[in-house]
Amino acid sequence: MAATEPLLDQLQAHLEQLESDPSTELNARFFESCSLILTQTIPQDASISVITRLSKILPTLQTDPTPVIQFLIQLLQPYNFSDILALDAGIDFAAGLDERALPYNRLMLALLHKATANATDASLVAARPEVVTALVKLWLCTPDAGVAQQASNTLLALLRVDQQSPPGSGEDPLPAHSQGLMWKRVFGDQDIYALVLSVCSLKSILQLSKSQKTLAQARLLEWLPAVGVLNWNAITKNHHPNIESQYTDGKGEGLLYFAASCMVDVKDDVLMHRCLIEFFADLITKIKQAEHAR
Amino acid sequence: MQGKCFAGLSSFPSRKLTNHSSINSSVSLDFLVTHRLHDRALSFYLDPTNPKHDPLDLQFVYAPSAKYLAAYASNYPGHFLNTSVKDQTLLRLGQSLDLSPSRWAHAESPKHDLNILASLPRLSLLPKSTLQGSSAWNTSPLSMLPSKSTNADVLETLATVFRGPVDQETYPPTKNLKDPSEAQSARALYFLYLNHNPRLFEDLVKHAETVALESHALAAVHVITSIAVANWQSLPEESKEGPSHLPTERHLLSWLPNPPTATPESGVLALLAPPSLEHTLPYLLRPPQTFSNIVGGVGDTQNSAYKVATAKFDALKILHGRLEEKAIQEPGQGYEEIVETLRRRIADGPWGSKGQGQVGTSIATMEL
Repeated sequence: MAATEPLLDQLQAHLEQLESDPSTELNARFFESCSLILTQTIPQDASISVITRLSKILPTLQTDPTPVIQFLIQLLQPYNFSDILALDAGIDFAAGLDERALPYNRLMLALLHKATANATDASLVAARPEVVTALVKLWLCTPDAGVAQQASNTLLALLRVDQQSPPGSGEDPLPAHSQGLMWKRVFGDQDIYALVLSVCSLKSILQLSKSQKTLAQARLLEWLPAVGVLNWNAITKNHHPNIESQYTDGKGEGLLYFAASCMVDVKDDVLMHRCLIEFFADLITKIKQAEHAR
Repeated sequence: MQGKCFAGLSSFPSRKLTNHSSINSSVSLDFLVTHRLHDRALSFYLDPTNPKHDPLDLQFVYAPSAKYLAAYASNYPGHFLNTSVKDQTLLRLGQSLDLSPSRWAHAESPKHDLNILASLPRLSLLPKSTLQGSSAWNTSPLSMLPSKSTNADVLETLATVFRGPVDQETYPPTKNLKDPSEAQSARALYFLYLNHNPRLFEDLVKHAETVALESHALAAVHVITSIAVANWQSLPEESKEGPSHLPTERHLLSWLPNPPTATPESGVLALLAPPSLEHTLPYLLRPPQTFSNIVGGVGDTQNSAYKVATAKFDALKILHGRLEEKAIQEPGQGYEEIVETLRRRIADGPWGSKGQGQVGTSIATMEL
């Protein structure tokens, strides 16, 4: 406890410096020790004021903000999603999830992950289409594999917590107020559905290189079996015929058919063909095991 | 945005995984079959010479295709047994496992094929019940696996097949399995393999004592433990005409060469019956191999000796545990004596009884 106050004073002083001159060099080691020591002992009112100040400083910084972001993630650990929205820090989720703002991505994903705690919080995310769109785009397009994985997990966890209980089955009671809003957002929202298809399809004219496209394809293939386990109909139903018809050959329906049959250029892309067959093996194994567990 | 998103989706369909066309399939397999993706994924493994395949493609896609087949056969045994894929797979395995002894021992192991072999329903590895005589065994790809000039993957495959089904084990063991065919086939395959390879245990012990080849030695010990804990059942006495065409105990005896070995009901008893008896028990009771008689036999090599010795000690404890249960169930059968011998050996610890003149070198090892 003794170390808290001097450290807190130093932190206040450093923050003042940064507020007055955003080009000040960040003291990375200092933030690191703050993350380790201060986050354990800081009183709640002090923590909230530091969070508010940091979130105001962050957008103005002209140096690499990673140490501050690490510290902020640690500070936010004890708070849940509604606490964070109530902080009134004016968090711009969509901007923070832009794949070009790599250091901010982890902070935003850490915040969004808090919404996976219950269906009410997940529905708050679902009610903000621009946030879900940015999350999906980040997942498919970010060049950083770790961020992509984190985004994929967050998206999956949001869907899982928002799972509607199957009618008539008393098993695995789901959190109250679950209305499947997240499912409706991801699969029912035309813009998001079109985004997934256009990013992954080789037919689209989106400004992505072929290697970026194949990365996105591989991420979609990895994600689909897990979603299929949660809700098979969601990935095999044609939610928006007018959009799907642009990207598939019309012989099947749903995101799964697009991914399994139309997305990959098996004649030309050997490595993606390899991924595709591994995806088939993964799909039949996961679905069978999920059935078996029920 | 809000309106567009929610229109027409007032009741989002819930999951429907169990509502599939047949008990042997699943929605995902049905999907792949309907869109002919299942056949395409298998064709790279089952039909590699098809001119439709690009040879370059094949190099990359062969392994995933084999992996898909293994996932399919192990997750959907009922579906697999009732399609032509079964015969094609057996034919293909027959071709790819037909290797010379030196290739088995020294070339790269055919690991994809072995993985498939280990994933197949054991029933498909039994000879067809219409075949007679001991040559029937040669129709099974399992008959091609060598135990003498071999590699660790082969031994692991044998261990997996002999082990029997792991997923339907209960404690205490019950005779009323939902589908006993796997447990029955595992036992039949063991006796078929053993009778056509009477040197099996001699070879296993030799591999297990070659500590320098660590993976061989560990795999050989693993075969012994798998037999000790095997989930086995006897084949039915009477043939029931069903879709599974399970052979009977009479079929099994007709496939074995004359005179056949004893065919006890459980793996523990199989280890105590000849030809295992004269190799396995003496091996387990001997102190393990060390390198302490070789100057400088420490470090990595000692490490491998240690791993093999602990695996061997575990095998000993497993055998003791299983046999003790047997002795309690059936007192007066003479098991008690063996249990006592095993117990005394276990009390000596993994490195065997003291006073074997190895103390000096052990201290030298400890200094490091």
